[in-house]
Amino acid sequence: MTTLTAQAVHFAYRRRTVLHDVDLSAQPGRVLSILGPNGAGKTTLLKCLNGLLRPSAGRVLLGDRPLGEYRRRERSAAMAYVPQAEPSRFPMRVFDAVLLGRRPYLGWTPRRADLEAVAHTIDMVGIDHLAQRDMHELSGGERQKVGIAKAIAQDPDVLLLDEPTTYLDLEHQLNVLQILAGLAEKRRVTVVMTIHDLNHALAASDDIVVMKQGRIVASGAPSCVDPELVAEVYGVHCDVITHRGRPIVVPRTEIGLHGLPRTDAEEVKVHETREEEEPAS
Amino acid sequence: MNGKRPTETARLMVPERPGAMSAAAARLVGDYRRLVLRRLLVLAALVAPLLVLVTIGMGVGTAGENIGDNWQSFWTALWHFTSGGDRATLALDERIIWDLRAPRVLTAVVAGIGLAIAGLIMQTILRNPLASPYTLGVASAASFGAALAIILKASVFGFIGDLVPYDLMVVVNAFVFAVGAMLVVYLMTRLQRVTPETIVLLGVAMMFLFDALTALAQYLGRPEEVAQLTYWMFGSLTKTSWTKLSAVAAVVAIAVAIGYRWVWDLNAMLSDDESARSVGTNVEGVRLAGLLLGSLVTATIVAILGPIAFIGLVAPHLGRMIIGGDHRFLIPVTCLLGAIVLTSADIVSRTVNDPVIIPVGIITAFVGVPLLLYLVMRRKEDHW
Repeated sequence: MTTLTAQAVHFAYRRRTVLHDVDLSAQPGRVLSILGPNGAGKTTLLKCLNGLLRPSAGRVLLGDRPLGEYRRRERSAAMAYVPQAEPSRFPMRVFDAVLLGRRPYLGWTPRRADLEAVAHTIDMVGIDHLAQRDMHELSGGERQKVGIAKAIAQDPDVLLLDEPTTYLDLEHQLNVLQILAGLAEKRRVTVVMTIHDLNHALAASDDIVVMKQGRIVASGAPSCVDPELVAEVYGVHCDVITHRGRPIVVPRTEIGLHGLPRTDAEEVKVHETREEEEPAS
Repeated sequence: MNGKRPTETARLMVPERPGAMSAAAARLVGDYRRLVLRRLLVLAALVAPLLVLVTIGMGVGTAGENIGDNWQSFWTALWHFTSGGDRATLALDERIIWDLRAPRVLTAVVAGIGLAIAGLIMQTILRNPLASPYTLGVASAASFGAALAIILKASVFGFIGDLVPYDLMVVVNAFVFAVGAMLVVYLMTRLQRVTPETIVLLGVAMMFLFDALTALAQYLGRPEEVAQLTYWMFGSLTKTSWTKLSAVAAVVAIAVAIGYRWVWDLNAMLSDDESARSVGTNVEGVRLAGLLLGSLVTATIVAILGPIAFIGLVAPHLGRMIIGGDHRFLIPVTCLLGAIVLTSADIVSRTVNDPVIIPVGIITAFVGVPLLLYLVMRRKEDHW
């Protein structure tokens, strides 16, 4: 049961400030999604939360202690991080890759309990058919799942994920979100992720944080995502409709010539269709 | 949270229902155990060829003897010395084995292990299949250190130049320059945050710099000094002795022990730095210590034997091909392969042009280059 808290976190790469005064609190048993356009500072925030980057001001608390007070092994037993999957140039089997998640608990050789934990996780994430394959034979999506399995095998109280659904097809996206929801609900894990798909975020999150240019512009329940917020943050006009009792964000932007910046001549042609649009409820 | 100890058994991992794991999970554990067993068998299978090569190595030479006699001579000599015997009272056969062949063959084994593990550690921590004591400039720096000592009679410890034996001065100089070059490369990477992949480029730059400096020293040197330097620059096992062997063995033993301590860190560093950090690896610490350790081992070997190329590059590649990326098995396999390659090269160097012994560094290049080309040609895509 561990809360992860950011207090007035600032971060700057050289002279460029990437995070301004970020406050955030992620609770055990809940999934927190960090939303925002590319370059908003989501990944940087995640790295500050995880201790990969040290905030230039402010602090991050894991439980009730500052992150900096943790020893490496202690921190890695408490918190796992899944970066976006990069392929390695050296061979490694999937089972061995997931076994690395047990590193905080390992002596020189893994015990039977470690092997069982790895096998159980591999089975749970649904990659058991890949266990003896080499990492480089995997697709991007499969690699992503191995990364998630490794983090789960790490048995963390806090799980941070950088765009865990990128590279995955629809079925596997939902699959991963379900696993994360299950970890939060059943094991009281504190889940924090960045994610681009607003509808997945709305469906899978208990809490939402929306960032723009290094600042948090909104936070709260998923219901805080409304057309005004999306327009402000992404510059995209949209409707939030309710489908089967769930909120769905539908952009108004039409794809194709209509959506592109128009010359005056084209503007005349498409003028009428634009006028007819009206917001759905 | 504060009460949670890292050794605590995984809470998350207990299967949800009491009772056994799922059939799939049980099968995975079984598969993995079989894989581990297979890797152990491969490891065991590599010990035999090394023993055969060592035995052959003891027998090869101008004074030809048969294999049984050689081992007998070796044990006789060993017994003779351990029971306080005097060298002069030893038979000629026994003296050839004890003074010449045994230290030579054992040096080939130990130096092969050392060069191999240095290359393996460097490749892993830089995540670069091209990293090796040579491509990182360590060996070139050592050569320049030796050149300074031989030609300019200048030592980094100039003020004690008269007190130190000349041989030792060459060794110390080579050693200091090798470690110094590695430190310079590392400090440059700290000044401007470069990716570990780029470090090899800096190493190659150092290599060219030190090669040019060595060439300059050769140009300025007197003919007999240049001849001596040229001889030094052919890495050769002829320079060994029991004393030198024990020095190399001590350093190599330390490197292997530290490599074993790091197995999980090395495994973690095969993927990206961030993943490695998140499982608790001190990435920067292991990277710096690994570079220094690799240079230390290389410097010791190069300082004593001269540069012996390609083992540090080829042995880890062969090892990964044979046993995969898990360092628990990759370290011993790579070490065995390094020893096997260098002992066989030594045997070739002593037989191919008998009675002239060709410097082993030349042979390893002849063996290593085709081997490396083969490995590069058969690799799949970006993968090693």
